[in-house]
Amino acid sequence: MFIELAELWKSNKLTIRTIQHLSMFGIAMAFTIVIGIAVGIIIYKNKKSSNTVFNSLNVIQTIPALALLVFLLPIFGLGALPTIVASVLYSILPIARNTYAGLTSTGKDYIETGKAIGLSNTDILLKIRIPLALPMIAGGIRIAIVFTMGVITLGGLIAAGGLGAPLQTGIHLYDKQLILLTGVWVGILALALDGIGALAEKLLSKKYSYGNR
Amino acid sequence: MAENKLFNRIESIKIRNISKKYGEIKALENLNLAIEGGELLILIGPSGSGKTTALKTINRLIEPDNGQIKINNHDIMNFEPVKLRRNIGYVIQQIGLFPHLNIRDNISLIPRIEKWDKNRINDRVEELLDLVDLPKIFAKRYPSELSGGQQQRIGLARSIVMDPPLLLMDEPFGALDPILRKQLQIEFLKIRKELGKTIVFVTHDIEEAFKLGDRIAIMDKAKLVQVAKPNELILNPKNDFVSQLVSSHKKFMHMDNLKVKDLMVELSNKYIFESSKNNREVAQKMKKNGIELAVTVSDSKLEGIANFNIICTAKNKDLREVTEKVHTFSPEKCLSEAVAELKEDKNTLAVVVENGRPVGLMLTDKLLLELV
Amino acid sequence: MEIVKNILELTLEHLSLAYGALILSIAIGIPLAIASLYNRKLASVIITIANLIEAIPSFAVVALVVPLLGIGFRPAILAILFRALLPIIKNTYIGLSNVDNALIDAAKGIGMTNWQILINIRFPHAYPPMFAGIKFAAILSNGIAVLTAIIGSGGLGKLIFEGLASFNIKKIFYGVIPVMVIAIATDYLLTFTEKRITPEVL
Ligand SMILES: Nc1ncnc2c1ncn2[C@@H]1O[C@H](COP(=O)(O)OP(=O)(O)OP(=O)(O)O)[C@@H](O)[C@H]1O
Ligand SMILES: [Mg+2]
Repeated sequence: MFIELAELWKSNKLTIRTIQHLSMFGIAMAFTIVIGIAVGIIIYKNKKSSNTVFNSLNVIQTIPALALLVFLLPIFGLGALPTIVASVLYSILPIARNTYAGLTSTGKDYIETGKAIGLSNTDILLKIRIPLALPMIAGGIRIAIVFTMGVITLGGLIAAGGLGAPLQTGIHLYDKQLILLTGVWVGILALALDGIGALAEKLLSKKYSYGNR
Repeated sequence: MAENKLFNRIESIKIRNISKKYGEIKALENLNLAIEGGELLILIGPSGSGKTTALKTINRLIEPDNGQIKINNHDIMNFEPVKLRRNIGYVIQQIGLFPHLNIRDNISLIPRIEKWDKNRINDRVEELLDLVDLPKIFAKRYPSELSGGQQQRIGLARSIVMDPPLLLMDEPFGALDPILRKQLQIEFLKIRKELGKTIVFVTHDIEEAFKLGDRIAIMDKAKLVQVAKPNELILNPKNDFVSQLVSSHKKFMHMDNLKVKDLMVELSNKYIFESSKNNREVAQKMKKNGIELAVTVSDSKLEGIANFNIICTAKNKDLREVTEKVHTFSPEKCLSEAVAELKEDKNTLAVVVENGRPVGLMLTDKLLLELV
Repeated sequence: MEIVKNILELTLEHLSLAYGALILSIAIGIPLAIASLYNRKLASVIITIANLIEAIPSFAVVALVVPLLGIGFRPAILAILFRALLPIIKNTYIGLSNVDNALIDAAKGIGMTNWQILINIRFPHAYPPMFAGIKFAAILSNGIAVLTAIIGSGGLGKLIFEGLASFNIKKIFYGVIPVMVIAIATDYLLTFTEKRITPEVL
């Protein structure tokens, strides 16, 4: 049984597929986090734009990920690039939304104290609002991890490689063992990454909140 | 650095005819008040009478609808708000320590922004911790690890880190347990002498006002009613409102008739700890109850007192080992004698004991000491 | 003309697939949420499973259905059900259980039965989160229904996969455009209904 699985793993190059998968995931997440937080801060600075931006991001979110992926085909073609672009577009919303919510919900006392001891508005944003919003931002990142993992897996369908590819092969060849092996492996990876996100979120909220310490 | 100092000392603050309205609500109406350099001026009055509003106009957290405020004859509207606020300390009831910064970083937030060098910051933080009577190791702790009283001390330390000549305090002790409040008031008086700053201090508590204030400004319904020295308020109240407010303090004028039990603070059970208890457990309970003084007993008999900071720094020992001797009185003792005894011993605190059991605390303060 | 007819047929198939599964999820999910309300163990099991499954990519779920249930329309319905059920149970349960205890006590005090409390007090309070759950489930269903074409469910996804296989962009877009329209229309419609319902409650 174990030898059989090892064979299957090797013949389908699942190690390389996993590496491809995680590199796409890593690149996509890096962009998503930077852009998501930036969008959150920009919207915070221009509150009037918040509705427009959130509504547009919301629309993207309602479109099925696969549809978005193939929608980008004429522009980006097949492969890893459109997968990463779609994944970033898809996952910006939770981070931007949580960043914005975190920045606007900073306790009034903290802001008032900040002002009173002579912090400028920029200082208050950088030294008070953003750090205090970190647990919320981490919550957004955790959701984004799940979204990104989903889109990257779909990438296999447009020749991006990664673990979606052996899943597709398995379905096309009706190879139940391959599907099970890859499917369960993807599931484990997804849960592990989600777990890491959850842990980070928990540590941050512990560090950045009063009480329960 | 020097260019960031707007003034080295306060000669005078003149508040002229300022008013502030929120919609239809008048928060301040034609307030006129002159604050002298070096004095501690109390603002007191019922809830909603405009105390906080008045205080906040001084560092421009609130801009009045009309009127003018001058510090050392400079209109404060000509100062940049951020710069002005760095020259004025501010302490509030809700403390407002930033939970994501440790104590050192909380205190040194502005110095770091002003790019002080590291050694200077560390020295200043240590100096301030020392001033507010907290061990240096607290620098690395986070606000949530501190008790309410300790946080309030840090709030004070942070407000004076830039050595501002003026300090605004809005009910700084308002949220504390009554006994702890008295302890902090006494500490604050000591610190105040060392600092020699001009202070505007808001309170609800007339006892606190009499204890700390050089002058007391009484506010009601957005207006200033009377401003005078404590004794004058008692002798010449401007109206019934003032005389009612200060009436409870007339009893101090007849101290000879009073006994210790009339002025002691009753000791509730949360203050009393068996001396065989472990310090870690005691510290936890004290933090939870928001107190900083433990009265230690063995078999219900008084052993002495122990201080929260010391208990915290000796967590592996028993309470007995950090317990100190304390002055004791019987509840029937004549108050003036008791106060005189304490003054002689340079003590500020005594435990009232009945049949060997602690029943109350005597905390002396400026007013009492002056009367003897 | 042929292609228009084809698209219409596939759209119908897509809708029956996605919304058949959604309606099934609602029909199963709400009773399960009510059951969880009176059984803490069930509640914690369901919430834990829901949180775990949410993290697993839809494509993996769809693929895993093949070795377990085979291919075709019905396994596809089950794959969608599997993902759509959990947000509905979770949100309904949270809505039903987040009612102020004092309110429940007051209702008991005036002699309401558990059932009456559920219908008259708990449900009206649960509408907003319940609706959010259903909306989320609808968007998920629409998305997975596209994907299940790869396991032979038919529907608009079929055009996309066929187009991908032959790199026929036109064909892909014949599939993608209706899917997007359905997605946005669903979201709009549900948001609209949600807004109609909520003010009555609050
Ligand atoms: N931002 C605001 N918006 C509207 N009304 C306000 C605002 N700030 C203060 N007020 C009102 O102005 C009046 C004076 O408030 P202020 O906070 O100065 O009172 P206070 O004397 O400090 O009261 P307390 O003892 O309760 O702190 C009150 O009636 C209050 O409700
Ligand atoms: Mg106030």
